[in-house]
Amino acid sequence: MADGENDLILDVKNLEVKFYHDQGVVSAVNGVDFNIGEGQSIGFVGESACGKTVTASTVLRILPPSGDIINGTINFRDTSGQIKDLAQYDSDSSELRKIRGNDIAMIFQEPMTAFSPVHTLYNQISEAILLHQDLPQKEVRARVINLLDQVGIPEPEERVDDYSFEFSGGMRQRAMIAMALACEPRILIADEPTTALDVTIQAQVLKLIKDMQQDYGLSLHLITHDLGVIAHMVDYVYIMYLGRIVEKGPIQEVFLDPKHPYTRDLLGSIPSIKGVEGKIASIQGSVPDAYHMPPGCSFHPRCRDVVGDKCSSAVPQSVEIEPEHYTSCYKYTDRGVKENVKHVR
Amino acid sequence: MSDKELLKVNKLKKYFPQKEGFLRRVTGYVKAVDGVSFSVEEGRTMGLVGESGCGKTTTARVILRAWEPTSGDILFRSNGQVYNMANLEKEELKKVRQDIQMIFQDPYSSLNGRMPVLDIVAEPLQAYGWKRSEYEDRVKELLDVVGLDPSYIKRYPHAFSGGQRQRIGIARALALNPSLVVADEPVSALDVSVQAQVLNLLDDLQEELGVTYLFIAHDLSVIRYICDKVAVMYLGNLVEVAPKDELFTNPLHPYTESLISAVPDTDPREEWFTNIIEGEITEMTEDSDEKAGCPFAPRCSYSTDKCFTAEIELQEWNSDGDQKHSTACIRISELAEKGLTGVK
Repeated sequence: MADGENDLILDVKNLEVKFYHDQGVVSAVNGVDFNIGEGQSIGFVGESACGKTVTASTVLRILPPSGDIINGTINFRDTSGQIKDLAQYDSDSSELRKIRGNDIAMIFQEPMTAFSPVHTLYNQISEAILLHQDLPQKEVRARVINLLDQVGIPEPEERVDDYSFEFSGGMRQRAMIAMALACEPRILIADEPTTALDVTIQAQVLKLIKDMQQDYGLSLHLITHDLGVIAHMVDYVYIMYLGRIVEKGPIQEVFLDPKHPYTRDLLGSIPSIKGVEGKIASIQGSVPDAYHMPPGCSFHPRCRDVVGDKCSSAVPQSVEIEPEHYTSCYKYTDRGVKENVKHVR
Repeated sequence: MSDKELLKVNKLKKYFPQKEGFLRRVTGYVKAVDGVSFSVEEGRTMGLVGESGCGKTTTARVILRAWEPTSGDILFRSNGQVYNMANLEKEELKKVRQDIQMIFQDPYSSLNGRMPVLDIVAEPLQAYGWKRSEYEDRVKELLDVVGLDPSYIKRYPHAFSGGQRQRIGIARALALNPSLVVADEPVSALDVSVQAQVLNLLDDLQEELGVTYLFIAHDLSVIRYICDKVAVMYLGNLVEVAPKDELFTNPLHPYTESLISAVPDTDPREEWFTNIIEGEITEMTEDSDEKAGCPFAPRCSYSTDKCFTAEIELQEWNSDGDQKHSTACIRISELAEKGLTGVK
């Protein structure tokens, strides 16, 4: 998708993540490939439990203890041009600690729970700077105040010593962005950054993320369930359903001419603010529970376009329909991949 | 109250006292609902939209008398007779309240996990004296109406998905054949594909049963889809009331304009970050009883000095029957001439 392999900062291939619970094994991510180029914005969209957050947490290696990487590579190119496979390290290794918060930073969904209520904003934002950079206290403080100013927090000199509960939801999310930017990372992962916010505040915060992306030359990895938000925030989009990418492509092509039945129905099921003629199309049924993944194409029990028996026996292979626009559906290919067989790239 | 109207709310207020110190002295009031007036026509859907903390849920709860109103009238028509819900006594209130039911936002916390579906849906029936032998068939019928398999009555809520749980909540709300259903953010906890199912179900039920909805939501796209008339709320006040298409294409209040422009459309070709309002919703606490200025003035890009002091009231701009359009803005004539930006 980017011009050449050399522009890629992050190149994830064939990622498989499983969770081991008492009730059974959950295949949260099944053979996901994605990459991010320098300064590019990509987005993951899907309904709850489709694996979009797990995919991002795996990159940072912050999975809960029950989760395990079964397969795949997470190639990250550092500032010196050296490529490191993050999947190979221990999640508490010093190599990963150098990358987390420093090269790759993350913004979380709940600004209320993501901050510690017993530390001031200064304590929390300076933590990353003190950890990764050798700066005198005075400069760190000036830097934190400057960051808060950049993200639009009024009177940063005074507010820097306040606690997170003294801020409103929108201001807290701004502070979170300041914290993520503290070490000038190269990739910013934003996991549903505005889901907990009101629409007018959501617009403010997303505009801020876009501005910061340009100012810092960041690559953005956005995760959301809101198709309207993703349409205006990213260049390239991945549509996920039950741990698999069912369609990916440049945002305009995927949204204006969706190929996979799931993408099409998902776009068709949201009422538009411009008004809808007649009824909106809903998708029948609901997302199956994670312990009982349907065989074959995981969307086939809800699909209106089932092609034949093969839909329920093997996973359709991803095919390029237009340049850089891929989908995996038997409407476009005859080739399937049997379950538990590694993806062929 | 005209014959077409089922519910008419007049100057409704709900103030929550703020107490401080050891003696819990009242030091001020949070004016959650501060003089709201609107009416809902029979068989139609009225939408109440606004950001969090604007008082939309409080309005709903006060209408149901789940919370006591501070002042104002709640006129409701039940069995051909008009009651003022605001001052009904216990016995009569219980009788009238059969006709008003509520659907809640979170289908996970609004269903008791220790009760089977039969008991959950039958609870309102039990409250009005139905016997088990009578209500079992009614519950099965209700499950069928909302699109669930009637054989599920023995199951517990954990066996259902979010969308199915919300259907159970809807079945419970319909159990007593209410004329008015207050739906408080009924789809905001659901995934988009399931949200569409529930919205279509609510729409179908209105067609079949003729039930009236007071639909509360923060999502403007959902409001536009399901409602006939929309009231926009800001800090305890209504700032604009209009038929939905009129409101979205020709908004008359600056707050409505900025709300509409803040919603991103799924068409990536469209400009979005063009009209973002600054600031955040302010605190509602006030010590004085006087109401001064427009609550939206501090964030409004059109505000003048007068906006901060003038008395603001909801006024009819277009009083033409079905197209009645009211707004609470003192600069309305200038702004209407200029034309605010709605949905193209």
